[in-house]
Amino acid sequence: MDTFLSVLAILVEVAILGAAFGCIIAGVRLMLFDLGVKQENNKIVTLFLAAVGSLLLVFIFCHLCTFYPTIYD
Amino acid sequence: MGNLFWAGQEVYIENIYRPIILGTLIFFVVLAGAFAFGLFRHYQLLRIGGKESRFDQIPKRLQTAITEVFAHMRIIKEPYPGIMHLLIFWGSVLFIIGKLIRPFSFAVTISNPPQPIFLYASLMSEIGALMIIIGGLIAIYRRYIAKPSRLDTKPDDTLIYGWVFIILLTGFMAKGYRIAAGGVQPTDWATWAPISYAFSKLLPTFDTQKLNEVLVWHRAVLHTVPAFMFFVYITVNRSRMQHILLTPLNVFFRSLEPKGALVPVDLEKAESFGVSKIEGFTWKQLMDLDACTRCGRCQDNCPAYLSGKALSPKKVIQDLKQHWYDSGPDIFGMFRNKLKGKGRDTGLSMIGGVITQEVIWDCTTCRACQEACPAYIEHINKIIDMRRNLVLDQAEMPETAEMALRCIEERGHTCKGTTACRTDWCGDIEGAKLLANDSNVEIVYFVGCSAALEDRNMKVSKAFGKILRAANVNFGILGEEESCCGDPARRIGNEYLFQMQAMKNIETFKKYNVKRIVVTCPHGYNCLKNEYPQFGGEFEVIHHSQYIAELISQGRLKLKNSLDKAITYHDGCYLGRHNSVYNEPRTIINALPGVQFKEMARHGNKSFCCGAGGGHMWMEEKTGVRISEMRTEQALETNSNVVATACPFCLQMFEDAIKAKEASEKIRPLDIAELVALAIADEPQK
Repeated sequence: MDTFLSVLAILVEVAILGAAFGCIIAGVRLMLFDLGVKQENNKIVTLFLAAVGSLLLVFIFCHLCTFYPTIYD
Repeated sequence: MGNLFWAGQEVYIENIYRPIILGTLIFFVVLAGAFAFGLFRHYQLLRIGGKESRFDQIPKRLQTAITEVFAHMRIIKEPYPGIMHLLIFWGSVLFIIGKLIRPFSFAVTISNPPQPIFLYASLMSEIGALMIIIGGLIAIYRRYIAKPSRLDTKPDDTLIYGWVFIILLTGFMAKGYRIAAGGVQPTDWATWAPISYAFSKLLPTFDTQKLNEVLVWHRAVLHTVPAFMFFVYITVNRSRMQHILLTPLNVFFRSLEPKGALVPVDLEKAESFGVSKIEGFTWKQLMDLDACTRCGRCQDNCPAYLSGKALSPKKVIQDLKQHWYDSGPDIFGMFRNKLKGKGRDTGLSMIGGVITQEVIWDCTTCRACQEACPAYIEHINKIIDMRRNLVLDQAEMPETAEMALRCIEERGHTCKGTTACRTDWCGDIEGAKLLANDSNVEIVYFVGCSAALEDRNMKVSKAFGKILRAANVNFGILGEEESCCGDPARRIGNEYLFQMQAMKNIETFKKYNVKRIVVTCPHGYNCLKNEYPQFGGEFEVIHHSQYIAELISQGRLKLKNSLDKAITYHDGCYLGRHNSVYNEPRTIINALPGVQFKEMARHGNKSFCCGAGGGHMWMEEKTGVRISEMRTEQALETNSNVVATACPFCLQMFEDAIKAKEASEKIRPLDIAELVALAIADEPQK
């Protein structure tokens, strides 16, 4: 039960933290275009930010798996 | 109470929150820099606009801006989005005040030991956050499920909802972890932080104090960083969230001139007329574009849009905004300072490329858009400025409008083909005298082109003449010395012709030392009252509905005949929205014996245009449904026998639309004056 709850809790945490960083990354993307980066660079900018986001997600997941507090029944 | 609340929390406050708050205060400098940069971007864009003075009557401007911001006077007129916005706005205010108390209290060293003020701050933040979430959910339902056609969703909109929700959620979690890690039970956390306390029950903590400190530290940072980045985003990026600042500013700088008055052109100094390029607009006209939040209320109230025309006021503002952003100095040019406030050439002409001529000519200048706009955006002056350019610089206008203007130029009126002269209507009315013969009169009746020369409307002037005679009013008319007031010329865009007409009439009024004028046409009324003063024509101008109401209240008119009719009233745009005359026509109708008054669904300042304003009396309606027929349907829905008006254009539009809809048996249009004339007639008529 403890393991199941831990996995569930970690997944919820990953979703929340992923959404938090996702918002920041999406905001940075929109900000870049608004600041004058041309739309023709859309693909490269999006790919770069998606890569950063993915790395962050992996880091968050690993970090939580390693350090998440124990859940007692 | 306080001790219990803070029991077990001291270590987190001292070791974690104090450094984070101090860090936030340091980063506040960065945020202030981002804010200044964001403002500078808008300033650079506004600089490309022309000059305009909007710094008069500061207290009045402040009063309206503050009232609109805090009481949501216009926003709340639509309950669903109004309540939604009110919840989000006041929720944010409570939330931010609650949050700000903490860093500021650190600055004045009242935080150690914790003070009871934190209890209230905590509760205030939680209530605020809850209000934001409820308002946000209402907004999400509306935008993504109900999907009203007036809303368009951009990535920025979705991002804002998600981001704000995450900030609030991580905030509850951060406090929840702090409560859970405190480990002291029971406490009164449930009272002062009910939501975070509920979260604390779900959150696992470590066994040791040191690890819990790290845990709470992580959680606080994971709340603070997205929140900080959110503020950077909304200050730097020109997102809709900037309406927090731009909309109140736009309300502050709103026009305080009479609502119905257009800004005059200095014909002697002007090198070109109207506006053909974005930089031709004034800084305030450009600020309007910035203030638009795409709420779509203008579009929902626009008769042109609702009847299937090309015009959407929302799209006009948004298209101009995009064109302005594209044409304005770019971010790099700004730093290089090479452009010095000049616009860039996008290779797209504003008229024709960005805003089509069809859109420009679709506007009836009914003011429904402006009346509905919570940001006080002024749509009409932009459209008229583009018309001025089309008419005076490019000689481009609808053929029928051109014919009307030519008729004014050549004959001083708009009624092409008429054989009548301006005194024909008063043939059998005793007491009507020409000022040329005797200018010692109580009031001058400025008849207007329609009421003097157009068959249907001559019945209105006759009826009004009878009313004046019945009330023993000593009135005079100008007769052939009267000329078109100039309204059609000005609204179509021929400012030159309008000013000629205005000067001519003002000169005539002054020749006879005229003080008080009554007008049966709201367009003439608006011109004489609000626009002639721009050229030195200061007179007391009243509309005939106001004058009749005055005569009734003075007991000078005896309404003796029962009309036995159900009557609905159509608020003409230039009487209602442009001049706020809503009550007098209703007072008159309600004073008529044997009348059952029925209000249309769209009435008062929400009234629906008849389709004749803005020069449309002389333009063909080629696209979509006829606006006048839509309004006639709305009148028919009331099951009234009569649709009363107080405007010759509206009357004519109703006459035509009722015939087109074959509804002459059900309803007939009558002017207020005609109804009163029936009620005072010696021989009752049907």
